[in-house]
Amino acid sequence: MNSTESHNSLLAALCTTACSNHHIRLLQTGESYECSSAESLLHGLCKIGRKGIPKGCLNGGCGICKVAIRHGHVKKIGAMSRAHISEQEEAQGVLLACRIAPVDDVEIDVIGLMVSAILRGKPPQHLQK
Amino acid sequence: MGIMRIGHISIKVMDIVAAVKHYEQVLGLKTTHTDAQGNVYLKCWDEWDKFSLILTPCDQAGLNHVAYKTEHDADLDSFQKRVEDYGISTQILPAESLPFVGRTLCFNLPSGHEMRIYAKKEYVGTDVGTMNPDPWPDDIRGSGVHWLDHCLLMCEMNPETGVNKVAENTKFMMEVLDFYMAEQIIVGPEKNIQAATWLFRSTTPHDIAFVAGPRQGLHHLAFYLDSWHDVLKAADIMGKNKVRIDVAPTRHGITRGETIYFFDPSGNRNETFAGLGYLAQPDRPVTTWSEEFLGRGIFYHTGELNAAFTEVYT
Repeated sequence: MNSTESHNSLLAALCTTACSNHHIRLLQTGESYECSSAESLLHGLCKIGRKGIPKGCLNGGCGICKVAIRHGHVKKIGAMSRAHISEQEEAQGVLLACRIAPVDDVEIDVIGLMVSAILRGKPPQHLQK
Repeated sequence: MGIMRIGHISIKVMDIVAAVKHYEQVLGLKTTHTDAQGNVYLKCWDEWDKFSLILTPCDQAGLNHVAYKTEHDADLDSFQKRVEDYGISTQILPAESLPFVGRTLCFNLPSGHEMRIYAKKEYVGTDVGTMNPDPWPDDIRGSGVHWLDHCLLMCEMNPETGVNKVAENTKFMMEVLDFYMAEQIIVGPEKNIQAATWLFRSTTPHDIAFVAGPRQGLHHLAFYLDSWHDVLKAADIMGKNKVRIDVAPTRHGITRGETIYFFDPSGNRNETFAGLGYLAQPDRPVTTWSEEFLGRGIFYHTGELNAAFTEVYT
């Protein structure tokens, strides 16, 4: 193997382990999106292109992007304000979407202030075909 | 003359290293002191007192307190009496409770936000000095903001229960601390609910503003720039530094300010703005914005208020 091939395979390996895509499902609407393990759940959500998703501060301070992890695993990628996420909530998987990245496929419920934006114009899942 | 201007603001940050980097490299402040608790004190190049911003490490974001500087030490005694007579309890913190600051009157606004008034803070001078100064220093970094200009505090309002901390704060600030009103937003079916006010003591349209929200908090702290072009350059610097921009450069109807909003690494909203708008004077008639023109008042060009701008704060 020459050095270029070795470099390329190293890049490929890095991408598989460091930037793999995961499937994120919004239980309330049935929508889903792909999210890289190198980006936040909120960043991925904004790529759906739905109007009115309040992006908030993106820095863990304002608390507007609160979600509950119902299935799957995430990793914390930054500090979250204790004014919005208590230790108990954090232990139960209630977190800020701007400060977590997926580790595998994840199912979430949006809670808090983002609910109205997410549910606007979307029938509840049990009414969808 | 009583209160002169905003003196400093103390805010909570969740990553002190990232916060200092943001306020130094993006805004252009300089660190002037770090205390034993790890709190960091910074100032802008055009300010002459020791600091105007205190960053305190914490597990959440938001306001600790905002402080205003009054002209004479004796003002503190008269303000203390007036605040107490109004029914709000106060305390005088001894000199050096905060480093480099003289004795300080401390109380909570009706909204719950902590406010302080002091008369003395160590003088260190601006970065261009006072003798034959250049218009600006050579080592400006980032946006190169001139000074901390004002803050906007979110105050609880619930028309159903009759709670309106905007109106309560405004009455207190005007009656007790001798602030003047530049502009206000009046809403409601009876057009009698004061939903936001902009108050001043200096000659600019606001040294503090109050806006109604579901809970009390810090909406933003704002720093002054010279011109519209400086606002554009500040946006470039935010692009370079991957700063989360909240509202791209635009103009406010209210105060006429040219503005850009963004977030610090803990989610505290910052503003850099230019244009003094107009000469604020005690006898200037108050400008009123009605509910239909609320969006135009906030963002003059589009007239559209995005929900996140009023819902997102620390």
